Amino acid sequence: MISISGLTKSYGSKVAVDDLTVVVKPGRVTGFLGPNGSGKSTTMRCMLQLDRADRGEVLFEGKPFVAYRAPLHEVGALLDAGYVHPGRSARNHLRALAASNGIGKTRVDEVLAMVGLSEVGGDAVKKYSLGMRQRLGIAAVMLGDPHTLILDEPANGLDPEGIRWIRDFLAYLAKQGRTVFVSSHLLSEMALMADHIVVIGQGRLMEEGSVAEIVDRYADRWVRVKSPDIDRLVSVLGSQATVERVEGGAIDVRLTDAATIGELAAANGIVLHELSPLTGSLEDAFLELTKSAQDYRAESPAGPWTQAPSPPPPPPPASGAAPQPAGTPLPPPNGAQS
Amino acid sequence: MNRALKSEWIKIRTARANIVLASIAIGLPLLIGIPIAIFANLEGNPDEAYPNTVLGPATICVLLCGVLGVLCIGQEYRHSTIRTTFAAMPRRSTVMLAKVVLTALMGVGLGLISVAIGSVATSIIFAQRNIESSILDPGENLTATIGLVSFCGLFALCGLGIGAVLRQPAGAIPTLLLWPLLVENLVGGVLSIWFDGVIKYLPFSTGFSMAATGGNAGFDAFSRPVAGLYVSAWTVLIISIGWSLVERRDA
Repeated sequence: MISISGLTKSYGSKVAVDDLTVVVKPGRVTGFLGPNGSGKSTTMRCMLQLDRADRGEVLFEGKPFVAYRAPLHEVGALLDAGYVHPGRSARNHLRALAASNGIGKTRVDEVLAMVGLSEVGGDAVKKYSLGMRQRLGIAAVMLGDPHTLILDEPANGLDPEGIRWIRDFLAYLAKQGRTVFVSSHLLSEMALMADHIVVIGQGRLMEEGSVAEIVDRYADRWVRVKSPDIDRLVSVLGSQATVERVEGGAIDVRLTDAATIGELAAANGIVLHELSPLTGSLEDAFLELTKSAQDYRAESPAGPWTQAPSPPPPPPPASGAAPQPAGTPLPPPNGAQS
Repeated sequence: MNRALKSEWIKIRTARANIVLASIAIGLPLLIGIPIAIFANLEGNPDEAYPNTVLGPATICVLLCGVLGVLCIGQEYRHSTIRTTFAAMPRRSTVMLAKVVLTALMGVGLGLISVAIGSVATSIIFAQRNIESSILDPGENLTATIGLVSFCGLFALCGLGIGAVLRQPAGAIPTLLLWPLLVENLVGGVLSIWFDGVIKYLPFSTGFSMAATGGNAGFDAFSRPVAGLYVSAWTVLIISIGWSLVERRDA
């Protein structure tokens, strides 16, 4: 278990982490989310005492990190796959780390095999792709077979097969009762990978809970309806709901639920071809949750750098608003349909 | 501590730049010294034969030991491997102590190898040319050799200290090399206008005087033991500043 209490870190006048208190429990993958510059990496560096926190405490199984004489057996960390001397071979990089914690050479070969780098373990790291460096970082994490794993963007640079591998690997480690704390900007990945989510913004804890809870609290909900008599259904719904026309002749209905729509349709003899309750993704929930905590927000693609003149306004749609991207059904938490 | 030493040693010997520099530190003095031993007119002053062919060229070894000292820690910061190192060994003092021990041993070791090979090679050449000069003859050659080897270790440590302060080889190496080669010469030249004998208080000038024979330091130098202590004190100061910053700063 990792206990972070009152962690605060400033760089000059900029407060990077602000009185952060989080408990990361074993037996599950805890995702660590936040916008760019929200303090995720700083938090992870402070946890390992690489950056000196101004205040607060981080304990691993009740002990500060520095109390461990051979910490690779307790805490394995991957902060950046680039933290490797490019001219050194992967095997020698791991041997140096292993030697520092009294770990034998055979374990180095084991972890290289574990991440699929056995054949290239003797090559200089500068020849490695980002994905291979990421695998090397994961090999370093597993050197001491630690009980706690801290990973900053572990899926960065991995191909789809590698992403699935890391997802399954972390789930497997969590099932063994280990504490897994992982940050990622790939929110769709995090939705599949994490059992529990911690969201920070501007260095402060904003929310935590299961993926389903976070989505439930913050993501948009609506009902997708298809009917051969869609115009009559819209008029029946009247002011009880907001209606938005989307592609394929369907409508998205908000402010009312599927049961009410179904009952209204039945009462008016309107045939329905689809009646689907939809929920926004974790990404939608994340953006809603952190919209007040975005330090760095890009302009829209038609922002000020676009030199081309604005296109003429499109003709107004036949009725309703312009189509919007469809939401995705909420992933079932723990196998149950929400 | 043994684990830290073993880990740091693996890092030192598996970085190609270190191997290349160590090879140059040993080989370049030979490439300079042997032609001098073969072709220079040394018969007129045989007492200067060994210093001119072994000790003089070996000052290159001193400078390269300093560069190696910088690389021992500067490369860790440059490639951010210092974070991996401290994540594996969170007690920074253990890491620094291991680096200090190995850097000093590396400097002394390279100095020893350099003068040993130079001494053997030149003694063979001197025997062919009937020049009586060696590491033991005259006796001052041996103490000067000890001074040079010691300065290799001390200068390597100075490099480590400056590397720890500046954290980037690109800044630390020029600083380390320009200080003795340029700054001390300029400062010493200017100050000596007003203060006679000030040069001997400049640390690296005094360091190089540890390897001088027959009053060839070019200034009124400290005796060799005092010079050794004086340079050691500066080395301790530089290492202490670097060590303290490594402990306090974010990695």
